[in-house]
Amino acid sequence: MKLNDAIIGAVLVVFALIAGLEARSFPQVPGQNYGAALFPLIISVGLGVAGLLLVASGLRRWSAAPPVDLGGAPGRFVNVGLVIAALVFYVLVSEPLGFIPTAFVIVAGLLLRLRGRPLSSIAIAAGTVLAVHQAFNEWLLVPLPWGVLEPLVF
Amino acid sequence: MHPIFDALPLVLNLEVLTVMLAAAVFGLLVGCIPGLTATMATALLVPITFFMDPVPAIAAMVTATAMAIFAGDLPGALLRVPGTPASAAYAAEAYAMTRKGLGEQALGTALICSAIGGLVGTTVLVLSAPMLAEVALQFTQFEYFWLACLGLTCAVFVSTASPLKGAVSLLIGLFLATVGLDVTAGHPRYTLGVPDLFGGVAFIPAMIGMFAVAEIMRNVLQTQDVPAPRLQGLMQVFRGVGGILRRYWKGVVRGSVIGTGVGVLPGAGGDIGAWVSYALAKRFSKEPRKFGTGHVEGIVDAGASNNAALSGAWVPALVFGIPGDSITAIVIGVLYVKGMNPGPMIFINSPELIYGVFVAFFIANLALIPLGFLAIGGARYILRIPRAVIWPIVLLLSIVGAYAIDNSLFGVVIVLVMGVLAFVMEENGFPVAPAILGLVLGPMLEGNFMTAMIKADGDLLAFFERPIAAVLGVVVLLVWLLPPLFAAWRGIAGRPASPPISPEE
Repeated sequence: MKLNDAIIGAVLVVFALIAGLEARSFPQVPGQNYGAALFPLIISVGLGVAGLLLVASGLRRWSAAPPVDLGGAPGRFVNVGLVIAALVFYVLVSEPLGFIPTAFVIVAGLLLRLRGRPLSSIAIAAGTVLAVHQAFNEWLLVPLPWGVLEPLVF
Repeated sequence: MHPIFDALPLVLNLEVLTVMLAAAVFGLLVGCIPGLTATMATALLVPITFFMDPVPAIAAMVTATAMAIFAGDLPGALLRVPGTPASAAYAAEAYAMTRKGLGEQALGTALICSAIGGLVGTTVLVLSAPMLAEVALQFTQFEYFWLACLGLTCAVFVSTASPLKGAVSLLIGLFLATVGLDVTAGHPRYTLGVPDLFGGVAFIPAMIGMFAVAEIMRNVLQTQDVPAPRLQGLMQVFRGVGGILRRYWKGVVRGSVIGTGVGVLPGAGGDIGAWVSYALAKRFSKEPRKFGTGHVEGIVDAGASNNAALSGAWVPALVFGIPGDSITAIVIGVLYVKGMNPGPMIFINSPELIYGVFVAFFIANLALIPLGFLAIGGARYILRIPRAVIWPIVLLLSIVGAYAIDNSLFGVVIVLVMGVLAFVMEENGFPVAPAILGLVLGPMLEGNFMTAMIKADGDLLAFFERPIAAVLGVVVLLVWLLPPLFAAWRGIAGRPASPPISPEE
């Protein structure tokens, strides 16, 4: 996803303003010249200045290229969205649903989207999820949530 | 007794050697698959090594990265697609050799040169790090503050064609480092009221997001599957390599030395080392015209260089806690999480640990030769795995890895946010390495500054009162001030009517 520098610069300027204003509310330690606000303020000023320079250079070549370029066919850009959606999905449902079903939905879904072939995709997803579960849950003792499969665990 | 004798049994036991072998196979696989980088291998290893003792954990990362950097040459030579960015400099050259029927020779040369480069880099590391640590023992917050400044500045200038974009990346990293309770008053900064952020942006999930998930996004957006390659016979691999090494021994030395040097520079790793060495090989070659047509000379230099850079990067990392590349940045982050702050005190308190790392480096680079040989044979099978199968699996490993660090879903949230951030940054020409350095060095920069100012009662000139600090400080100020002054001088003297100099150039 290629954006014109001016767009990124503008985002940085806005961000720097918010971060800088927030930093001014950080308390001073009495008797010291430098406190919690110093580094955030310097960084905010730096980001703001850099943002303005980016806006300037981006505007100079605004017409040279489309300001927003997805960097691939729209269908492929959906793939990026699906990766993001998969992470959001995991955060939202892995605890109630459990690791195994959630991970299976994610891996199988992405495999189906990226390569098709339902049978082998489902088989690969099942094998991967069970192997990862075995490795992390049993060997590394990471308590992956069981979720709906809880009754099956004894 | 020299601490190396205490270190040997720490490494030469069945457990550590098994871990190293497994890490080697993992590294060869990751390096061989285009789109998966050595840095990503490290980030994905972290959640697993997190549960190990320090020596096997570090040995695993050292081995995996050394293997991955060599294995990146395999798809480079066979498909013209570099397996990791460190092989990009000479992928076209190696592929041209393959088309001439010399693919095995290209890979055999790259393999031997990788091992030599790695061993030279390791030797430099072993000889220089303890000496530098002696010097570093005298350092106070003033010197460390300047060193951190120097490292961050270096990262901005070496990692990209555009210093402005490098600076933005660095500032983003420094900003992320300020999130959490501040060092002076314990005031929560930019935590959005989320308790999970009070301790700062969790480092390991951030690395997984920036190096694994961002890479997945880029790959599902762009890559196509590539046809399976052809190689003639495994037995041809080392034929003629001896002659090549004798003929181009200067290139081996040059590549190893340059690579080590580039590795030491913060923010520059194997990829930049390989580009510099390839260019220098061409510059000093008797037959520069042959470059690009399947000529082995550049592969000698650059193949040695990228592996040497890997070892060189550990010099500042172990001695000063300043990472030489993104891989050591991850390692430093892990050491901090484990409560072992890198720096000269490690050399005094647990020298066996340092020497254990050195021993692991030697073993990994020696094991590279037989294992790399097998990998050349296996490459055609590995490269037949459809890439579409790989991304969902890597995504799942990223999720579980981030979760495993402290069994918290918030790690997955950080993976998501940092993944999207790094994806957008890289797509738009903002290098990620300075942000990583900012994230790692930010607390060191601020912590040393604040402590120093409390010691000096707020007197900024104290930063120039100690001799080493003064020298470092003057160097930093010169690096900051000279380029703009030079540009301004050129603007006034040379081209008075020219438009203002674009920050891009």
